[in-house]
Amino acid sequence: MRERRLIPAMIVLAICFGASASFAPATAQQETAARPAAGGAQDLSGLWSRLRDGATARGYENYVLDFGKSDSPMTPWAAAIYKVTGPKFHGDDPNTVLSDPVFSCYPPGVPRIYLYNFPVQIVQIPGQVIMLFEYDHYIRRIYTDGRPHDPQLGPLWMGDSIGKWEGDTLVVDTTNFNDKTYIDRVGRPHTSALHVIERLRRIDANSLEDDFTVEDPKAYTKPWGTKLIFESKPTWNVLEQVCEDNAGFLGFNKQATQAPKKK
Amino acid sequence: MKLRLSVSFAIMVVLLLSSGSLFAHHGASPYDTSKLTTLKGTVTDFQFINPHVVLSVDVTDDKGKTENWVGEANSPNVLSRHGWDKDVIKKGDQITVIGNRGKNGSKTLRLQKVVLSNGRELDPNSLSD
Repeated sequence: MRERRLIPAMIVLAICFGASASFAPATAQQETAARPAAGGAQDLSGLWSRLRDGATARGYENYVLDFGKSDSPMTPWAAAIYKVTGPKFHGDDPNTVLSDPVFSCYPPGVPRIYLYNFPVQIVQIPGQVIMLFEYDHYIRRIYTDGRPHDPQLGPLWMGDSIGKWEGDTLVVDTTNFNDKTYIDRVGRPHTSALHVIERLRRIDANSLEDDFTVEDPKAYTKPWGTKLIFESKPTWNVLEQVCEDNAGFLGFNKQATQAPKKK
Repeated sequence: MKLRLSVSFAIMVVLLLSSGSLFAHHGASPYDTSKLTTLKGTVTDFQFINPHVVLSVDVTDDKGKTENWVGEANSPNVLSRHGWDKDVIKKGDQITVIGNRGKNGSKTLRLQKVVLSNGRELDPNSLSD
């Protein structure tokens, strides 16, 4: 008698378990995505070095100082600032160049950090994609555990980043910036309303693409951006790079640079 | 002794910085990129450190006068990714340096190539820079 009632109960239980398995909560799916099969579509891990404009050989002279968007659509507010910062940061006068906050070793912000000629290591763990930059050992943590932006944070140099997988693309949304950084190395400004969206995708085993968009209505009349391509460098290691090596040296010799000596 | 050391250090640093070398990648170049200067000499110093690798060379002209030139290159992080390391050049090495001279006429170079006495060429630039 008891056994006969047990069988339907077990069938019901089995159906319930089956149903719950197919309605797995979002966080569990994202967790799985954060631990992809090595080299799989959702695996961004590796040591990545940014190629410049299709990897044409360039001399030391041709550092890339901006994202090649010289027509980035500035508002009058931004244009007025850029009129001052452009010549300052890009000029010949060491004194004005030193006014760029990176020379006081302040963080470069996003996307400016991609303009430095040092690689980035990407590591994925459950709930986070972590970018470890060789440039002054900066770390960006992109939270992939489904959390929203944290409303309790004060403004940040490198912003608050959350990421969501759309197929093989990690869509990274970064907000909550302070207004103390610049978009690039020639002084394009932004406000604390800066919103950076990046679409990160592994194109193939050796290439990574970061298709980014900058949105900041007070500074730019429309969103703009570009695609950065990175090449895998499995034989490289992340090396030490310390901002104070630049800044201390320059600051110490600021007076000396004011009067170049002729011989 | 202390005073003389700090004076010579200051002079070296003034020479180095008068070319605005460390500002080079932040704007208009203080180096004359329209031509290359080639010098042969003896290495007096090789600093394989950030922010810029620095190579000092005693160069003797055809009149027998010896002058010290200072060449600078990229970060050792970048250079180490194409053939350089801290021992690739040593004091006393006979070397050829090719680079862009400082516009202000100082004895400074932005290095574009270094040739060792065994003929090996070192490139301070890189494809993915």
